[in-house]
Amino acid sequence: METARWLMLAGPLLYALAAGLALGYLLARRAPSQGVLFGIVSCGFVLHSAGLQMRGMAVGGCPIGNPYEVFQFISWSITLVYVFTGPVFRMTILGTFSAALAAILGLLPAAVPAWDETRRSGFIGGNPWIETHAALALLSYGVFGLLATTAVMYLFQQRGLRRKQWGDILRFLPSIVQLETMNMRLLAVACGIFTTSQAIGMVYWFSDPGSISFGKLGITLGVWLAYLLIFLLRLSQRLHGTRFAWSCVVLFLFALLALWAVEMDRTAAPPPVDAVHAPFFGIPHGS
Amino acid sequence: MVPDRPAYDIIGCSHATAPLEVREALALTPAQRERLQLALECDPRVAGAVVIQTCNRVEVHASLDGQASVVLEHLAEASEFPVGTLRQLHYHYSGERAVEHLFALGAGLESEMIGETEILGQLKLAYRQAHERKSLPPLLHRVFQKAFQAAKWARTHTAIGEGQVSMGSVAVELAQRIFGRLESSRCLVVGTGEVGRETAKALASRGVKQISLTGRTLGNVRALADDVKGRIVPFDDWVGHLQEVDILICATAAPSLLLHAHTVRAAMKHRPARPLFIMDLAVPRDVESRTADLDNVFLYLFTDLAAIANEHLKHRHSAVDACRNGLAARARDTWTRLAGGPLP
Repeated sequence: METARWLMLAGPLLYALAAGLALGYLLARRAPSQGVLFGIVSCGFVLHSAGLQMRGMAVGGCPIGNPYEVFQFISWSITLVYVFTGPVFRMTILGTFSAALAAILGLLPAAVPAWDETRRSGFIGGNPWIETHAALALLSYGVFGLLATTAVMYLFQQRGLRRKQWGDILRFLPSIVQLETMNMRLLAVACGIFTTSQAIGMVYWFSDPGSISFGKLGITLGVWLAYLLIFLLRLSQRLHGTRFAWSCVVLFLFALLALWAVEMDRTAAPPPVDAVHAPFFGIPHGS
Repeated sequence: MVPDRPAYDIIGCSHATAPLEVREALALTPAQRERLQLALECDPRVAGAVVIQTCNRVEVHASLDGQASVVLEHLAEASEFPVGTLRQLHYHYSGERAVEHLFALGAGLESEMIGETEILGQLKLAYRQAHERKSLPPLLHRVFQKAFQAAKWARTHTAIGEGQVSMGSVAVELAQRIFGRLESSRCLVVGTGEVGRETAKALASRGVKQISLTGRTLGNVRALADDVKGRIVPFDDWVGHLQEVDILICATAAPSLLLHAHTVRAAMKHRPARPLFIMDLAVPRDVESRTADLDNVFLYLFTDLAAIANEHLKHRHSAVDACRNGLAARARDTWTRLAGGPLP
């Protein structure tokens, strides 16, 4: 367990190193080295994956049983998406932003030992569908996180162009058309993953409606519907540009708060005996 | 009264002293410029006159007895601009300081986009026109010849021309910050002035999908269309093409606005998610300034592009200073010889 924790610390530390190094390059008015940054982030990703794998093996399921593991999983998901999609774009800056976000989400819970003190063992209940539901939901959070990152990059670039700024960082950012395309694709992918996760969760909710609270269900569906709404609005071109980017950022912050609320609800409520439980998104909780 | 001693005066307004709105009002039409030239030639208090007009300055070079007001009155009358405001915003250089200014002007050091070379061509044109009118006294003739030599010296003996960022390259870089690769972008160039031509060629060299051109002078439009392999759009109809365009370059000599915000707003309704990059390089402006407030529209003026180009010069202060000092020494030497000895 200790080795796993160290590995889960080493991954985000390497993400932070990559983000700091890139920032140093930019302050020195130099383009960050793509190979070096990608190498550091990839090493971090391997260590992070190994840590989560060890933790998963130890607990006998997907390691998302407490706030520490949840944040680690989201941090890992952001890096996973970046590692596989980043090279398509001008990834140095995307890497910088996403590495910074992954580092924050990975290191923040490490600073709060209480988040990892208790853990519901066997919460998956041996059901691979529930595990898939929870893992997909958190993976979609990773993509939403990356979407919020690219949305912030869009807002930086857009603001710079509006204010006629010619900073070095702005020159290294992708164009606003590329960022808008990237945002739409990430939103489509995240909505797809999240919807699949919700569909699986719904099957279990229909079979046992009393197993989760309405508050939890309402928050989860609210996040899902909100993302679906901005996806449809963007698809119909009623929402675009700055408003679309702001929607992505604000909705991710709301989704993180919702995650927190759901987690609080889960830890506060006494688990029903023999119920299959998972921490998020309408999955029934139990012992 | 014409001075009996060597005198050289420059009276004018530029981006350094007057805001864009004033420069727009002072921009002379060909008829106004002719009227000013005639008025100066007929005034016995003025000996010879060279009128220099660029998009960012209007200057009169003449031999006076030290009174700038006579030139200001003629300039105000020709441009129909209040003389009181002109008095507040003008500059007046005499003698050695005037020569120094002319030398720096020819080398591009006084331009809004420092180091640009177009100004030298504009100086030569103004000088030739004055020379052809036989209104140029020997002193002005000599000082202009010396200015051309000084500009050549600055180009070849100082680093002012090295790493010069052109208007075209700034435009391309801005377009790339908006659209990324330009292969799918469509461009419309309105007007075929020097700045518009340079920008259109820079965009064409980066492989924009299509360049459309329009202007009042069909011959000039055809020539540029041949250069950039563009298609010609009738001048009466170009606004109708706005919704198909990603990059719009306006660089006409029109005295009033050609494109209003409500027209752009209407065009954007057909393409709300696709940005529109407008470069208004004309003085007076062709595009209404409120257009910049529209969602997904990026409006850049000549001033903005020049400021970006000058950003690149920040790291070359020493080159600019060395050039300015060298030109000042040559100006001092020139004026000492002109003022001290008999004119050739």
